[in-house]
Amino acid sequence: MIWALLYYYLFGSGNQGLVMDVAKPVKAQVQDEAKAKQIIELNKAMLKAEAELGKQQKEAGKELAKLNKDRQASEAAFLVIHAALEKQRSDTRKQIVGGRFKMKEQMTAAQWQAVYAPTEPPN
Amino acid sequence: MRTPRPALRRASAFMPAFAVAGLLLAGLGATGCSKKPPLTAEQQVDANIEEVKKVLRETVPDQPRLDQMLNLADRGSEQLRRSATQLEDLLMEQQRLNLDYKATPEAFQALGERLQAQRKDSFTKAMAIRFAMAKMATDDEWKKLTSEKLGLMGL
Repeated sequence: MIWALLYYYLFGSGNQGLVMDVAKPVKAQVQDEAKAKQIIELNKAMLKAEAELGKQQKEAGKELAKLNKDRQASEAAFLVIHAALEKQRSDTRKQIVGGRFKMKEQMTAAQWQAVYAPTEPPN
Repeated sequence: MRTPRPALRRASAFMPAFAVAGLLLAGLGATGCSKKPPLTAEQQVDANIEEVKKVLRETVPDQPRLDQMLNLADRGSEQLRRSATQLEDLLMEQQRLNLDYKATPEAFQALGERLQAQRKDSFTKAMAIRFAMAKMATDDEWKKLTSEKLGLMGL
């Protein structure tokens, strides 16, 4: 189901680069244990929201694959699935971006850089 | 200075759109053979297109229509690559933005809107090819092109 299903897997959530498990670097960089705990909790909630979106995407992919089998399926039917998934993506993104700023409030600029600095430079 | 785009094949922490797709597809069993190393997503896309073209050649009896459908398959493949490249650029921008401690919520909002617009545009283009293909195919041909046997390798 190359045209529709692959698109969903290819595009992912759109939150790549925003959501990653940073528990280890946070523990290493943030000395205040209470703060570190708060940051890790926020990060966990973001990861959970992203995982939930992943499940919804997979379901949408299955629906699209099923619909695609019907040669006469209308464009509107595809767009309904697409729009529903976009709504879920938008809601999840708000949650994740909100979490990102709450995490940032608990950290200094130096800590932030140390936690999120890429391990592999772009080439 | 603009950060150079990573090669599509390279699995990297930086926007591995094709790599992610490849892993997901491999996870879904789309590669078909568990003993071989999983294909990269780019290789997977090529393999899918080749499989679709093979089925088209076996299924569509008249040459002019077959040529048109093969052409559509190639256009779909090109579109897929273009979309992936556009997405990679946006996601690299997102990673840079996330690294910026002073980045504003508005900047994330704007980037989110661009990501959404890019997805919509790519989805619309992909659907246009799908509908053009469906219009040209007979019911029997479509059934073969989207059969369970082909799974993700099909249309």
